[in-house]
Amino acid sequence: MTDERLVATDLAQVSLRADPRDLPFEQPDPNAMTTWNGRDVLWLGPDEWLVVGEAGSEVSIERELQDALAGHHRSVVDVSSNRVVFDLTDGLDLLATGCGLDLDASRWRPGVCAQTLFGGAQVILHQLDERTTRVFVRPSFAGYFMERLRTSASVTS
Amino acid sequence: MLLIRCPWCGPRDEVEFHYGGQAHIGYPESPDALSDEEWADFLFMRDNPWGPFRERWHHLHGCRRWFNAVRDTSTHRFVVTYRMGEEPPA
Amino acid sequence: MSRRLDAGGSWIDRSKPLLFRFDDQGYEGFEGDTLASALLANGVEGGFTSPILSRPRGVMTAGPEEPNAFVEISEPWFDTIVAATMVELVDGLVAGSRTGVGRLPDPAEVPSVDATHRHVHVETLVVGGGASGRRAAVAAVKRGDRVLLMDERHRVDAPPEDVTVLPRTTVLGVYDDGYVVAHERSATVSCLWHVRASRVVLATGAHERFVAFAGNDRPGVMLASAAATYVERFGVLPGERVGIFTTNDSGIRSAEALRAAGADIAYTLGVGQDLSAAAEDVDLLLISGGWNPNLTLWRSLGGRLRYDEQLSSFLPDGGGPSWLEVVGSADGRGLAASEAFWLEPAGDYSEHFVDLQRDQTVADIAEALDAGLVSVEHVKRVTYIGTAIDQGRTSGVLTAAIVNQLLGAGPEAQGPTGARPPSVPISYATIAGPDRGDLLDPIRRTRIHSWHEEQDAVFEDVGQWKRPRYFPRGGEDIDAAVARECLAVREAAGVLDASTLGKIDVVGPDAAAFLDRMYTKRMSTLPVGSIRYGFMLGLDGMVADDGVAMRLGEDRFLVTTTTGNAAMVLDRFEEWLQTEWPDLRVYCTSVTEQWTDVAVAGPRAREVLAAVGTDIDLAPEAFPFMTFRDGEMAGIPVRIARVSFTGELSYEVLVDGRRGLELWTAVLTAGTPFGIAPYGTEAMHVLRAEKGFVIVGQDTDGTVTPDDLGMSWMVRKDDSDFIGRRSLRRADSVREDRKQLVGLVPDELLPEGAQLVEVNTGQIPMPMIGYVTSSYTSAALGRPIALAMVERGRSRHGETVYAPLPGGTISAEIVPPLFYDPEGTRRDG
Repeated sequence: MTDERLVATDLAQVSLRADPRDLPFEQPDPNAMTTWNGRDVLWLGPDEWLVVGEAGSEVSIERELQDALAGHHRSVVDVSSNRVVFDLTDGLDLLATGCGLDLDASRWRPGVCAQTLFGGAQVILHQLDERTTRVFVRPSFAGYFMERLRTSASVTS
Repeated sequence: MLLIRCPWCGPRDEVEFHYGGQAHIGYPESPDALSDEEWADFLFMRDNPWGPFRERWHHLHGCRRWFNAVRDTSTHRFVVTYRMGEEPPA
Repeated sequence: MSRRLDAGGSWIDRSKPLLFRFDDQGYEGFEGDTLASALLANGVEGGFTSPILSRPRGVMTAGPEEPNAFVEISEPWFDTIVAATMVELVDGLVAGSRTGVGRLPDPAEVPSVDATHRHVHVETLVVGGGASGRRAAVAAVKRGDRVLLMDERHRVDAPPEDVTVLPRTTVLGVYDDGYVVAHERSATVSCLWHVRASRVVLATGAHERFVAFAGNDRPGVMLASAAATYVERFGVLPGERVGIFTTNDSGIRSAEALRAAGADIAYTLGVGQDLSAAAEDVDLLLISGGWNPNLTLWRSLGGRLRYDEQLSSFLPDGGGPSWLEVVGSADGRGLAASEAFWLEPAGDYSEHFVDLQRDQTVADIAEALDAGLVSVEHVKRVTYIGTAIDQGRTSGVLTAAIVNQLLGAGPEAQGPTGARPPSVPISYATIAGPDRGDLLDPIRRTRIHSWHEEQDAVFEDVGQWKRPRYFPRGGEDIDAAVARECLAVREAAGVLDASTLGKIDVVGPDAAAFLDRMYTKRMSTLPVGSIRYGFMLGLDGMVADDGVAMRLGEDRFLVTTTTGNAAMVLDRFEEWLQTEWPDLRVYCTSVTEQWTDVAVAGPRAREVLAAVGTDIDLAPEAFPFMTFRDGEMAGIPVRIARVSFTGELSYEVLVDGRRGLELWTAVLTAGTPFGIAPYGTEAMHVLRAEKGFVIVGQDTDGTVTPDDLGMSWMVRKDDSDFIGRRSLRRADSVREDRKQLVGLVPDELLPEGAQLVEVNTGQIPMPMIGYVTSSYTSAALGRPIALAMVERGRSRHGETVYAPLPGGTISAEIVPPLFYDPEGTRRDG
């Protein structure tokens, strides 16, 4: 698997927890996403979302969220260093070597996301477009994630 | 590998979950008012039926929500899952 | 002598000859052959040996039900034991006959097969690529299903369109909710498929039935349909002068196929005719005792059987899950009706073989019944019939029928014993797939790991993490390195990568009240800017974790946990919030890896941080113990906490994870003039043990209360509730003979886990009164020390205890668990 297929991407990530009725945007369906002010908002739970923006924008994301939710019980936490992000091209078959989700392209459409396991590592998967899967993984597991992906790739190619 | 229907995420493989024991055992209102025997009963004693059983489950490697289930211990089969806080089905 | 026919063989490609070796002899075959068909084509007679009686055996079947022809493959891949009938011939194949069990070679000897795993979801999985399986697949496609069809042979004729067809794929087991595990194997890849199917269709066919007569195991005895298969598929005539015994029409048809290929059918026998003399006159004796539907997968999910008198065999009879269906000959369709015939009557049954792989005969069954057994399950356990690799494919129905007959019962009285997954042998390498070696379990590394590696740190596993254990310099062994690191921390400054500790952000109007319920100390009374150490107990009152909480604001805390319990603590927080206290307004978020934690400890720690450069006032009056400050260091935003696990002046510098290595490097550079040294987990353990600081999970094991540790001061005195509080009052929790934390000053270094006795009688047993939890050589004291849990330990200070060990007994004096700086004067530097 060439390095072009798996690209580490620097992004701003902010964890948001709040009552969904207080959100400044329509909450996404479970395991789907929405967008807000140019950022992706991934559903992680009924009261938990991951707001993803361009690298370095975590401070403004935090500020905008704090402002929008002022007066409401909320949690806005910068987690930009808590996970590293990889964009994987044409990688669903590879992910299927270690993930029990239905990753068939007919079911796993752009816009869906899910928290799940790849091998022994917790990951968040987000299908960006027809060919690109964005993978969020804890930095400490990144080495394992890449190694397991590469090992599977070298066998199946 | 059981297929477990998380009330939020839908069906997922058993490995994403963690079993949480018998459901609907609330933390006692006044632990101090309980005798050692009554407290031990809360701590350690659980039902163990052959057949449908109300259990707690945790979608540990998914949305991390706790939820409840009725599961048949004699067949392993899940009868129904329902959200934490919802009334158990009859 | 070649038995290859001049023409015919729908599976072989005569334009593609292949070379192979079997038992050190070279042979030729064709692409499309199995190893068995190629051996038969080359006229190899027998070639195999039975495992217990060492009787000569030959190929008996053309499929997975083969009980005799087992081989080891050594080129171009290694397979320890596999039926030759299921090995696809490839160029350069090297195989040898195996008897009984496989062997485990030296890994260096054999080429490894890259094994992988694949998960797939389909609406319909069809097991078996014969006519009925293909029909079921086509019907499923019409319904709009995603369809996967698997067949264990290396070829599926007329594969249907829009169906994913996997030849060379054996279903190993069918499990709950349509989860199916199957092994796809080729010369180069071994792939374990994990299928989740909404519907599973078993088109697993039927096996021809064997019968018992004297000498029915010798080479040249073959199932009739197998011989016909060798003719039709492989263009091989397994014998020229052929006899046949059959209870049914299909046997007649098989014989006809051989006759059409040029064989001389010497005789055809039916029920009641003398079988035993039959084998003398021919070089191939065909047997067809009827047909047994292949229903092991059906039964493994609770499917029941009923005896069918037409077929003299067992058919599915309900009881399976709603998503599982049996079709085709597995359901009895199209099978020839057969008389019920199991064994040829004789005076001596000792050569009437029933299970060839176990060398078990009708005489062995009779012996089991004579001993009083009546159940086929017991007969199986006593004789091992049905427990070999073929798992009773040719012996199961036959055994049950013979038991029934010998007991005078009808053939429907007891059915065959079952089989267990995996349905065929599978190597551990395939089960493991990529998950072995370094990938067996994730190896977790901090952001500073590369620096540790460059320093040739020796690592230890802490859960899944690799943490530096010590940093040897110039050929130091562990003792020298640890002693040096400890002295550096006690006399100058040391720096430790503490990034693995769990960190949780807790925020909300009820955050303080929530933490009050979770910890032994009240966090609601903690001033903003301060830090409090607390125990988290289980409901049973036992210490589960320790950590500190930093109060960031009225409504916000940063809570730390031990490395090993980071996930557990967050999970527990969520459990209580979601299941018991949904009305509490508090949110928890894991930030374990958001922060890198650089711990700087030692009397010169303050100077080191000042040298790095910070806008934080480090003066002791401005920055007291158990408080934290936010600011900048080396131009990087930091949060510095004054906590100490070593007893020395100590700062934990929290910095954004992505800048952790940068800060670490800055600290080491700035600290060089002060004699700074990196230290690892081993030195950390020694330093904290000298101060009597416990490590949860090392000095505790889930059965230890705060009072056992001598740390009742960690438990609040008011009557507000917290998890575990009620249990601290249980009679068992206040037993006066409970084990309590003590220090030990031993004559020699004690092994951790050493059991302690009060009186060393030298006679086993001696009552155990405690055990060693932590043990080190203390550089500061120049002697070994230990921590231990001992019955009534606090009342035993000054007493001597003994650790009886294989190499001799070590004695130790019990002392308070605090060896160094008892007044705590070094804490402020």
